[in-house]
Amino acid sequence: MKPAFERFVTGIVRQTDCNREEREDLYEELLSHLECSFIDYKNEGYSEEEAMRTAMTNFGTEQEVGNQLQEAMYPKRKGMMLGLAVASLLYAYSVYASQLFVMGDAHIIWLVAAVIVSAAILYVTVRPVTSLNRRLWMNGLLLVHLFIFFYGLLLATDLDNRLSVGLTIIACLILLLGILLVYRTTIYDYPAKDQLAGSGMKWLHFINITTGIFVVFVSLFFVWAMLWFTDEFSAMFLLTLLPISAWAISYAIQLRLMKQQKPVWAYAVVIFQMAIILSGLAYWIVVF
Amino acid sequence: MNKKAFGILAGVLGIITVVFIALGFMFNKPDNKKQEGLTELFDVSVDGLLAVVKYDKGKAGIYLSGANAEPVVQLPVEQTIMDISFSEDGHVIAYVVSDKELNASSGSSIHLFELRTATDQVVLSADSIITELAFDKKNPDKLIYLQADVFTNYSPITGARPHDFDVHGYDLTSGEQTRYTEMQKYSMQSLQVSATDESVYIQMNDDEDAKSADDLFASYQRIFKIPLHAPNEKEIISNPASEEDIYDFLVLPDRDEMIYQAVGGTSSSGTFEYELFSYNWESDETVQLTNLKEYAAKPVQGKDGKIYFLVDLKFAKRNPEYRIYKMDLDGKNIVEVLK
Repeated sequence: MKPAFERFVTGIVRQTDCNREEREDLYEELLSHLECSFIDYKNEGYSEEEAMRTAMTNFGTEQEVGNQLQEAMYPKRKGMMLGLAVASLLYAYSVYASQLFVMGDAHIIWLVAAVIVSAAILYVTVRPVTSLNRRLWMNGLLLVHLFIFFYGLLLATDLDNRLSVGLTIIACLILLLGILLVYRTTIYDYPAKDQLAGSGMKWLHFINITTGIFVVFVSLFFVWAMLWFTDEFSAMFLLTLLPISAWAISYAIQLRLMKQQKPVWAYAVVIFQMAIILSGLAYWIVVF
Repeated sequence: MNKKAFGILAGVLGIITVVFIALGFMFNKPDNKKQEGLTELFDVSVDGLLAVVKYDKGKAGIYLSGANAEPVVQLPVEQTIMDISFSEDGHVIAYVVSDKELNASSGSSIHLFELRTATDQVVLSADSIITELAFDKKNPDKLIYLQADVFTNYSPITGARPHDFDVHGYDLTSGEQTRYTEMQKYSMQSLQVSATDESVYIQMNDDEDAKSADDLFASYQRIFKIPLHAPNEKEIISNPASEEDIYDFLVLPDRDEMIYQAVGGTSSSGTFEYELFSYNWESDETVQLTNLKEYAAKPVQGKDGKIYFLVDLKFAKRNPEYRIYKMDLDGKNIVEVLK
C-alpha cells in the first residue's frame, strides 16, 4: 500500500462526520478506488510516480472530496452545525454586551460557557473528531448548548423592549436549530449498530425527544414561576426535576427493551408514558 | 479547516472573550447602584410644593419641585426611603429610612426634615420595619405609622417579606409611642389619617371571616376605617359588596367620597391596567376617573383642589417609568406635572 495514498485518504475521511466503523469502511473503499486507478495508469505506460500523482489529482483535493462525501452522506448537516456555531457565538457576544451596557449586568460565567460550547460545536464541525463522533457525544454537546442558550433566551427577554424583541427571536431560532440537530443526530445521522433498524426505533426516538422537550420546558417553567415569587433557592425546586427523571428512566427502559429484541414491551412503555403526559395536560386544561 | 487555521480562530475568539470579560468587570453595576429616577413616593404640601423620592446612581434622595436639581436629603447607597409625608403647615417632611436589603434584623428610623432651616433629625428608631407614615391632620405633633413586626416567609416558595402589621403612633413632643392595634395583619397599606376624628383609613384584606385557604383566596382588598381607641369597631368604607380588589385610595371626607385604584381593564398582552375611580358611600355611586390604560396610583389631594397621582408607563416591565399627573376631582383636565 502506498503511504501517500493512505495520507491522502485519511485527509479525505477526516472531513466527514462519520463514526469509527463508517470511517473504516469509507477508508477501505477510497483506498481501493485509488489503487485501481493507479494500476490503470500504470498499465497505460505511466511511471509509478506519475501514475500515483495522476490518480490523486484526478480524484480531487482532500477538501473537495471530503466535503462532497460529507454532503452526500449527511445532507446539509455541516452547514447547519456551522450556522449554529457562528450564530451562537455572535448571539452570545451581542446579548452579553446588551446586558452589560444597557442593564449593567455582566453575565461572565454565561458568556464563557456559551463561547466554549459554541467553539466546541465549531471545532467538531470543521475538524471532526473520530472518537467524539458518536450520537451520545454529539447529542450531549447539543443538549448542553440548548440549556446554555435557553438561559441566553431569558437574558434577551430581560432586556429593554427595543433590544429584547430582536434578540429573543434570534435566540428562539438558535434553539430551534439546536433541537432540529438533536432530532437529526438521534434519528438519522448516527445509526447505532446495536439497535434495531427500521421505522419503529426512529418513531420511538422521535416520540421521546418530543415529549422530553415538552417535559423539560414545563419543568423549567415551574422553576421560573417559583423563582418569580422567591429570592432564594428552595428545596421545593428539586420536585420539578421528578418529571424529567421519570421521562429519562422511561426512555432508557424503552431503549433497553429494544436492545433485548422486545419491541412490543418498548411500545407499551412509550404508550403508558404518553398516556400520563396527555392526562396531565388534559387535567391542566380542564382545571385552568 | 486545518489545525493552524482553527488555532488562529480559537485565539481570536479567546481574545474577544477576554476583552468582554474585562469590560464586564469594568462596567458591571451592583444591584444597589442601579436604581435611577423617580420612585412611587411623593407628597404635595399646603403650598403646592411637590416632594418626590428619586434615585441617583442608587442613592435615594428627596427632591422638591421648583427647587434646583440638588436633593434636600440624600442617603447612602445601602439605605432607602420607605415613605414621605408633609406636615400640615408644609414646613416639615417626615420620612422613613430603612435598609435596601431587608432582613429579619432590619430596623427603621423616622426623620424630620425642616425645610426653612434645612435641618434633619432622627426622631424615632425602631427595631422593626416601618413601611408608611403620616402626620395627624388634627395634631401637628403626632405621627401615625404602620409597622411590620416580623420579616419572614409565610409560604415555602415565597421569599421573606414584612408581615404582622399594626398601627402605631408617636408624639413628637413627649416622645411617647403608642400601639393602637393588635391585629398582626398579613399586610396593611395606604395609611391615611382622618382629618375630622381619631381614626385612620387603611387598605387591608377583608379576611376576618376566612376559615380556610379557599375563603382567604376568595376575600378582597378593601378600605377600612379604624377608630384608634376602639380598633375592634373598624368598618369597611369601600363598596363592601363589590367583587374587586382596591389598592391605593384617598378619602375626601367632606364629600363622603373616596378615590381609589383598581383594575380597569387588561391590555392586549394580558397586563392589568390600573385606573382611578371614585366611590361615594352615601349615594353608593362609582365613577371611573381615569382611562389612561396604564398604571395609575397614589392619589393625593393638593390644596389647589386637584388630585395628584402617579402613572407607571412601564408597569410590569423590569424598570418602572414614573410620571406625576394632576386632574380635577371629576377626572377631567389631566395634565403631566413631573417626569
